[in-house]
Amino acid sequence: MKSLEKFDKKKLKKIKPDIIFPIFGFFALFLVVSFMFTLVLDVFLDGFEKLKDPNFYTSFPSRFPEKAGILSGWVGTLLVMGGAIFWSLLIGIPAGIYLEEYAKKRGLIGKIENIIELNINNLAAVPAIIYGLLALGIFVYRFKLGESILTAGLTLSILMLPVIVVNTREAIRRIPRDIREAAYAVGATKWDTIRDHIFPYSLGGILTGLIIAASRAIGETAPLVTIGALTFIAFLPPNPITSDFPYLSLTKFWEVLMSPFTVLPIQIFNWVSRPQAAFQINAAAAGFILLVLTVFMNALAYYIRQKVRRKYIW
Amino acid sequence: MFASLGYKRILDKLMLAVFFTAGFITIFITIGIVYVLLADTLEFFKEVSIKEFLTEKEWTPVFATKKFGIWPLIAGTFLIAAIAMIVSVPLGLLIAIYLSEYASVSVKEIAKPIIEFLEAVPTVVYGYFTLLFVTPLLQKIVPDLESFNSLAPGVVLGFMILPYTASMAEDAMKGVPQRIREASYALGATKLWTAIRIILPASISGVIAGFILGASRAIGETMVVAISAGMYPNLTLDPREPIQTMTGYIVQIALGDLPFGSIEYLSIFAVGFTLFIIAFVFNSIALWLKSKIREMY
Amino acid sequence: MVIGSVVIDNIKNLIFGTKEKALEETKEANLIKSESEIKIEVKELNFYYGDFKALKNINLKVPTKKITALIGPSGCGKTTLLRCFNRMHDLYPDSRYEGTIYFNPYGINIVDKNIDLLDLRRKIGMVFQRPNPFPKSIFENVAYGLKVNGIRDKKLIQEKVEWALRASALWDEVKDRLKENAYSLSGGQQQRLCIARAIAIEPDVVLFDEPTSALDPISTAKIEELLIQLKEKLTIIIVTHNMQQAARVSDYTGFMYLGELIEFDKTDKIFTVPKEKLTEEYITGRFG
Repeated sequence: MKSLEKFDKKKLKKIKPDIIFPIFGFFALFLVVSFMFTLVLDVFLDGFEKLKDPNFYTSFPSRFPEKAGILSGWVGTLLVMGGAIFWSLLIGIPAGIYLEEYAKKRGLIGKIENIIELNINNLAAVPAIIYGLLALGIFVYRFKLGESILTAGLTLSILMLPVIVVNTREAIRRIPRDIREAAYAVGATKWDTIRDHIFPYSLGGILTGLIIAASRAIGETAPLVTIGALTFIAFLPPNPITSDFPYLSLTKFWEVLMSPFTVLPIQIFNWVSRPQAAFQINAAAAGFILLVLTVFMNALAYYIRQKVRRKYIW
Repeated sequence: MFASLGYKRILDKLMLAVFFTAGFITIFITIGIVYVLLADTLEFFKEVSIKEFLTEKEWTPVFATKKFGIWPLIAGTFLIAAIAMIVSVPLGLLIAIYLSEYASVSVKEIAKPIIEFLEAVPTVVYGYFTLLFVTPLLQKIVPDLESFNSLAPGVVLGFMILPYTASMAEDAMKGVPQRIREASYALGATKLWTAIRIILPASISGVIAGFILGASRAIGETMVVAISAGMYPNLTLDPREPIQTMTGYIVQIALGDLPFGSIEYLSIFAVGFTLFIIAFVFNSIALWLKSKIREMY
Repeated sequence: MVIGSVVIDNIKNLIFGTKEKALEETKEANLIKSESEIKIEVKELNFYYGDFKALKNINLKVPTKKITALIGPSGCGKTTLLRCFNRMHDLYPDSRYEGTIYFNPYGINIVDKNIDLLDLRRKIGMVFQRPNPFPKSIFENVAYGLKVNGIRDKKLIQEKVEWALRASALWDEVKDRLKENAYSLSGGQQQRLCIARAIAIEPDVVLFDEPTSALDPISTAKIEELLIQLKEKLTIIIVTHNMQQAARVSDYTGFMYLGELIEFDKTDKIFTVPKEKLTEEYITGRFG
């Protein structure tokens, strides 16, 4: 009896940390949530005055903080992101499909495939600013594309590429082998199978990846600073859409691609760096808009992912 | 009944070529990075000796007497990364163990997206928050904290990399097979004892891979430090003083108008190359550690 | 526009030739062979996954318009053999064939590296273990084989789909919901849809890989009934782990063990007077 009593006491001692630890753990989690909450609230409250001012959204930057707005910033962000999404999809989806559907993993081609795979993993981990240096050295100076919307789009597309490839591959991997075999069994070619099955069924996953990648790229500042995004743009690129057929002027479209630009994050960076507190209000307001955009995009990606999971239960 | 399908066979081959090309292009991106960094770095070393780069203790490229010793920038970079890790490792580990071993499903479902979102917040917004909220707050606690310092950005980066230090660590711990947990409980072990003595050692390579990726992220992070750490290359370990990181230097120079081929232009590539190598080493270690877990189970 | 497409078709035929025509021609040339009522003749077939020899010296004659069952314990190679007939193994790396599989009346060797797999798979269809309809409409599922084989005529597609669904005993159940997603059907209906998908392109042979293993007894009975109806038009090879099923539906049965074909004969003989001891032991349930 005595030894049993002792045993019980020991056991009680051991149980104690099991009550204390979750409290610590929960507290750590609470700390993170309050950090996030404080961040959002701080930016919102600091920028509130500007956020409710409609002129803020329709004005160009200015030397006078009270007149300065984010018109050129959000137009620039829109155009640059359009380019980035275009280029990253153009390369990312086929590259992802290649690695999942075609890769042979044997011989010389197999070696190249391994390099491609390793390479994409490494690209994902390269600091963003290095992409800026790449773009500065190649696109701006060697290809002479200038500090343009085209350059910026290409730069951000390289950043998005690994995320899109990884998500494309994951989405494709979720399609069971059976489905492919069923298609081949009725005489479909590989391309038939990809076009009719692999691509449509993985579209949701690819879209999720695209949105997540875009939500990262939209807030990206460093690589665009490196390629020399201007901070003071008091004009918009020309409008390439015309009233008569074919409704798009190619020369004007090229002018858009080649025009200098600013984007929201660069505008924020510029305003934060100024000593006047009034500019910092602008920075907070623009920062909050960027934050809302990111939250929205991440929520959308989450929603699509859930929906796709429910749609295809294999 | 069936038409000729010769064109389909040709199309099939053609698409294979298209897909392969897309995959191959991704290699060119890396070749491009290495080529640009290497070419301009070599150009830089024609004007500045490697010896000076590695032994000089000052970095003053914009002064009249230019000195190019990389150490102040490396010191600044690692100081901030170290502060970030001091914040992030204990916090991340606590959260990882809590989420993987204790938390209910509903807590996990809310906590995970919030932690993941820490990485999605635009870094320029973190920069704003660091400079105008965290630094003033810390100044009330830490005496002599200058308005540009390495403490505040370090702390904020510590939170920013939680998706790696907490979330990835949690994924690694969750990957430990349930039967190992059950075996430990069956012997009468408590949850905490099991978590620390069984689960953590079993998943340690994944947990450390997460830490290393987090550190790598902190080293490469740019906007937070460019905004709030200062622009003063400073060989110091004092977290209260302004410093400059490698990334901060690249931003500073890029903000000015730099002519192609000037020594300032070339210097950012030399710094970028150094950063690239450090990040590459960190990532390779993390990838290697990750592949080790896959071998285990 | 019409003239243009005709011209283009002619040019295509000139350049690429028509494999289909070639097959039809060989069909006539080999008519004598088909009279011998052997659809597929396997000779000294070996099959390897990498270094592992999964099939060892298989010799087998599959009769035309009959049901041939392959039985044996799991891992014996019956599915592996089945998947040789439409070269499904080619989808994955490290597979290698040795020997020959003659496909009458075309006189081609199925495991020849140079034969056209699209042609082959159009002639030898397959139904899988688990119902695997495409997540598309019921109609699209059946029409898919026709479409990828280049049929554009909508009326013809509609006719063929209806024919295939009737032949799979599914038409009455789905004729009012052809646009619904195939996954809204029950498991048994899904499997019959997969059969319709396989027969819509009118193959000579259909391979069934344990088609009822994921189904309830009632659905299983329906599929078995269907198989017996289908053999009027098709040659059927079925892999099953269920001996009663083999006894119920098949005309010929092959017993496989450890990658070898131990015995092949008429089904009633295999189940009543097996020649090999191994077969007898398996049939009487002493192992497997």
